[in-house]
Amino acid sequence: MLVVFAVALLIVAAAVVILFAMLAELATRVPERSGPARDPQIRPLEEARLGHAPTGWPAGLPDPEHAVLLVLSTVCNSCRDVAEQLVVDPGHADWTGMAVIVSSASRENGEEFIRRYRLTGFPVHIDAGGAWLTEEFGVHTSPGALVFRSGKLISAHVFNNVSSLRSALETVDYENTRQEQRAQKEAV
Amino acid sequence: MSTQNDDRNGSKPRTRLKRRRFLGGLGAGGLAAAGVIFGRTPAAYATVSVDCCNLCHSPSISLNTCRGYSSHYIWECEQSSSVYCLCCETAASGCPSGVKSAVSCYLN
Repeated sequence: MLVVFAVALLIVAAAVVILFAMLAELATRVPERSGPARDPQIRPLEEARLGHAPTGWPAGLPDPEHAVLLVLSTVCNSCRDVAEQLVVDPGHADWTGMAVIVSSASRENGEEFIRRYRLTGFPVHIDAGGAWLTEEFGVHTSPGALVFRSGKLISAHVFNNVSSLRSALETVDYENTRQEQRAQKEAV
Repeated sequence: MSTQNDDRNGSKPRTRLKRRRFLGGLGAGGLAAAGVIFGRTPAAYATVSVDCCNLCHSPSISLNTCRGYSSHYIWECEQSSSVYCLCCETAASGCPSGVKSAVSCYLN
């Protein structure tokens, strides 16, 4: 009887310990919302070197013929919310040609950011020290979006709302495609 | 009929010893499990929010001082549509106690 009671007590104690551990882990995975709360406005990123064709392109990123790089940083508050938007709220796993660049003080910090905000489902590159972004494109602001067409940086934006950004870029792409088709027709 | 080897409760000393060892083992196992769950020391990472910056520690130095460190990391974030902030840390892996931070905001 004593043994049964002792085992039952131990199981209950273990269950309570595990419950608290799970709650603590869950709390660390919920990013705090702060900063511009998903402002839908997209603003130009003035510092970016538009027209520049990068001399180096990290492996694993989409072809710069048609790519969008979302620039996040470990020291940027709203970047945590952007990560949440990408992963689950509402989730943008279907965004072809998009990749995430994580600028951080060190590779370890970048890896922790990717792990904590579950960005492993996207093409991701860690830019330790932000060196690549700063040297190639003059960019040192987040959250930012760099748009590449035909291997060159054609536009750069500051954003907080991923859906708004995506919508705006798709509209620009659609308009550009229509203009190209019109130009081709006229040439014929 | 009780025998010489039985105690007052009627259980044999060997059985009691086995029970004690079993319970002791269960307790030790529980403590070990708790130690594994809570004993892992995850690397400490940024946890302090200052304006739009997410830093290891509260700012304690000026931006120029932070820039003076050979291995600093500095990045910019958007506080609002017209205000941007520079977030600087004397770079390191994780957030060890020696890391210092600075924040400087300006109108765009």
